[in-house]
Amino acid sequence: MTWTSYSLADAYDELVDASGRPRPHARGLCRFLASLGAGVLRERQKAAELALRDMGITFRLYGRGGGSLDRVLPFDVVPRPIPAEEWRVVEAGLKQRLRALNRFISDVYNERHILRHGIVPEELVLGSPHYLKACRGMRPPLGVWAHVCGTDLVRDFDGRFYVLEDNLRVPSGVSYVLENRQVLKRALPELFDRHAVEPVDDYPAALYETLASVSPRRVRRPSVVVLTPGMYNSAYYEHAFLAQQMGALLVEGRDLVVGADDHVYARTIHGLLRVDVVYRRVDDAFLDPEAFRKDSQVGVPGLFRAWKRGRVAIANAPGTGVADDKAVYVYVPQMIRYYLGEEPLLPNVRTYLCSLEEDRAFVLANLEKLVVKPANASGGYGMLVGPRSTAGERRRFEALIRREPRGYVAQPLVRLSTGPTLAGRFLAPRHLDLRPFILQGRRMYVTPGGLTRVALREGSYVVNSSQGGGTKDTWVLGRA
Amino acid sequence: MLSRVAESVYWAARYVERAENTARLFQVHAGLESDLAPGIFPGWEAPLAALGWKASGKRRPDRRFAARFLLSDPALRSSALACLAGARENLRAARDVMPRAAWEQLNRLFILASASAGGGLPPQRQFPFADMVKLGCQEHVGVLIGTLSMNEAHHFALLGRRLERADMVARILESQAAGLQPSPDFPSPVLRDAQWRGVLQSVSGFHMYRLDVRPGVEGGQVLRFLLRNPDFPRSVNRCLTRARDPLRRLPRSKPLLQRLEVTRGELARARLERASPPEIHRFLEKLLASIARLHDEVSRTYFRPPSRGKT
Repeated sequence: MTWTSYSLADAYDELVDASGRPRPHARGLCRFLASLGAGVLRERQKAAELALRDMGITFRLYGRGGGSLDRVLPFDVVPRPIPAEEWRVVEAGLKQRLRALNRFISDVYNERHILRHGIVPEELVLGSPHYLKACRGMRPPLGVWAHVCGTDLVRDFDGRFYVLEDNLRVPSGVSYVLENRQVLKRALPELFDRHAVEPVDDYPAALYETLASVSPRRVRRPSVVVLTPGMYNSAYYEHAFLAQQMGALLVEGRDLVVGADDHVYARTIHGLLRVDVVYRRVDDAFLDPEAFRKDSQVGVPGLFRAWKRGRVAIANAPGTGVADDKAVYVYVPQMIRYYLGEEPLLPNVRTYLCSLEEDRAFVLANLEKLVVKPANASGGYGMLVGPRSTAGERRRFEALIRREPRGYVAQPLVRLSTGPTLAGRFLAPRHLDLRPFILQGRRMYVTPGGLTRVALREGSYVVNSSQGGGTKDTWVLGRA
Repeated sequence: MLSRVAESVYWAARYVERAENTARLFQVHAGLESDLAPGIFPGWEAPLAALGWKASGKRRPDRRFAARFLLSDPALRSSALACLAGARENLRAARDVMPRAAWEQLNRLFILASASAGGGLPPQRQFPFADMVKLGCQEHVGVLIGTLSMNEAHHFALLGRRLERADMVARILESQAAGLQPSPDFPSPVLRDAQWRGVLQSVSGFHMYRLDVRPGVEGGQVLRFLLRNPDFPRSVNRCLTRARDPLRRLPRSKPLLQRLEVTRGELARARLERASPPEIHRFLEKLLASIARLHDEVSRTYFRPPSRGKT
C-alpha cells in the first residue's frame, strides 16, 4: 500500500537503505507497515491523536500579541528503531560526554586548569553570559553540576550519529518519550508483540535516585521538589508529570521559603516542610531575585544562598549553563581527552567559531553553505540556514557576526536522516533528530533511545516543537 | 501537601459540584417554563439570582439569556462551562496529586462541552448540553471515588464538594423562599407546588422526598427536607455532617470542627415550622453567611497560613 510509493529524500533513511530495501533491524517493522490496508495506519494515527488530546499532553505556544495557545504536540505513529548494538556505543559516548562536561564545570569554577593549559580559550568561558562569578569556589555533592542533560544527536548522510548540542540548563521533552510509548502501545499493539523494544518507563525512578543521591541530608527518603515557573510555562505538563511520577512535590517559587537558618522549606497544610533537593525547571536568571534578576516572579528569594551554604541541592546547579554554549561545545572532544584521557566516542558536527579570525573569514565567505546559530539561544530561533537564505538575510547575518563575533557559530548543513512518516494517506520521508536524556548522580543513566523529533513539513529541517515539529516513539531494538 | 495544591484540589471539587447544580437548575426551570402556561411561569429571576445575577434595567431575563448565564457563556462566571473551566484549571494545577484518570476525564468533558457550547446553544441543544455536564460531573466524582486514596487530596476534594453542595442548596432555597409568600405573583397553589417540585428537582431530591416525606409537595416540608434531613445526600444538614469526616483527618482542624458544630446547631434549632416567610429568608441568609465563614476559616487554616516567623 503506502509503502511501494515511498521515495527516498536526499538523506540517510533510518528504515530503508539506498537501494530501497529495509535495513536489517527494520525488516519486521517494514513488513508490518506494508501489510496494513490503505487507511488503517491513518485510523491508528487518528486514535493516537485522540488519546494524546484526552491525556491533555500539551505545550504552550506564545504568539506575537502576547497571546498563547495550548497545543497537542503532533505525534507520528511510525516508530523510529535503533539497533541495540549501535545504541550501546552511543550510550557510552553520551555518558563519557556528560562526565567530561561535569569535570569541566567544576574546573572552571575552581582551579581553572583547562583554561591555564590553554585547552579552552579563557575569554570564551569567563566572558560567557552563563558564567556566574557567584559560583566560584563551589563544590556541589559528588562533583556533579549537570545532573540532567539532553543531548541532541543527528545522523548525517554517512549514517553516523553526531552531537549537535548539549542542553544542560533545563532540558525538556523526556515526558514525551514516556507518553509516546504509552500511546504507541495503544495505537499499534501488534507491533510490540513481535519486537523486543527496550522499555523507557524507568526514567522517573532513575531521576529520583539521581536527585536523592546528591541530597545534603543523609536520610532514607530525602524530600525532593520539582520547581516549575507555573502552569503557564510551555513545559508545565512535563513538570507535573515528573513530579507525579517521582512522588515529589510540584512547587512554584511562592510555595518555597528560605529560613533564617538558610534551609529551604515548602509551605504545606501541616506548616513548613524542609526541602533537600530542588529539581528546578526555572532558568538561572530567574532562580533567586536576591541573587539574580530582581524582577523574577517565579524564583525563591534566598535559594542561591541556601545552595552556597550546602543546605540544599539544586539540579542542575546554578552556573551549569556555562557548558551549554555553542562556542564551548566545540571544545568538548578536547575536554574528554583532557579530563578522562579517552578518545571521544561520539563526534561533534564541524563547527566554526566566529570569534576566531580564521573561522570567521571562512564563515563570512561561505554564508550560503553554512548554518549560522546564536551561541546562546535555543528553540531553533535566530538561525540562518545558508542554502535556503536570501541575499538580504545573509547580509543581515554578516553584519550581526561582525558586530558580535563571540555570539555566533556556524556549521555545515547536516543532511538530517529521514524516517517514514505518515503524510496524508501515504508514508513519506521526513527529517528527524534525536534527544536522549542522560543522568549523572551516584550512578549514570541514559534513556534507551530518547525523543525523536521530526520535521513534519516536506523537506524541512526544523524539528523544534515551537516551529511545526512533531515526535515519534523511539525504539532501542534488541533481537526478538 | 502544599497549601497551594490543597487549595486547587478544594476549588476543583467545588467547581465540579457547582457546574452540576447549575446545569440542573437550568433544566428544572426550563422544564417549568415549558409546563406552565405563558404568563404563569414566574420567570428566570429567582434561579439566576441564586447564582449572583442582578436585575439591571428594563428587560426581564428570558430563556435564551438563562441558557447563556447558566450553561454556555464561558465569559460569565456563573455558567456551567465557566465552572468546568475553573475546575479544569485547578485540577491542572494539582495534577501531581490527583489521579490521572480524573484529570483526563475532566479535560475531555471540558473539551466536549466547549465544542458543543461554541456559538451558543439553540433550544434543542440546551437539555443535551446540561445532561452532558451533569453526567460528566457525576462521572468525575465516580472516578475520584474509584481511584483516589484516602489521602490529603481526598480530604480536600471531599470538603470542597460538601461545602459547595451545602452552599448551592441553601442558595437555591433562598432564591425560592419568596415563593412561600402568598402574593399576587403566585396566583395558584398549583403553581406554588410546581415551583417547589422544581426546587426539589434542581437538587435531584424529588424522588427521595416522595419516598421519605409524602407524595404531595408543600413548601414548608420541602424546606425542612432540604435543610435538615439527616439522610438525603444533598440536604444541608447531611452535607455539613459529612464535612466532618475530611476535617477530622486533617491537621489543626479543631476550631473548624467547632465552627461546623455551631452552624449545625443553628440548623437544628431553627423553628422553621412556625416561621414567617421573612423570618425564613433571614434564616437562610444567616445560614449562607455561616457557610461562607466556614470556607474563610478553611482558607485561613490551610491555604494562606501566616508564615511562622522562620523568615
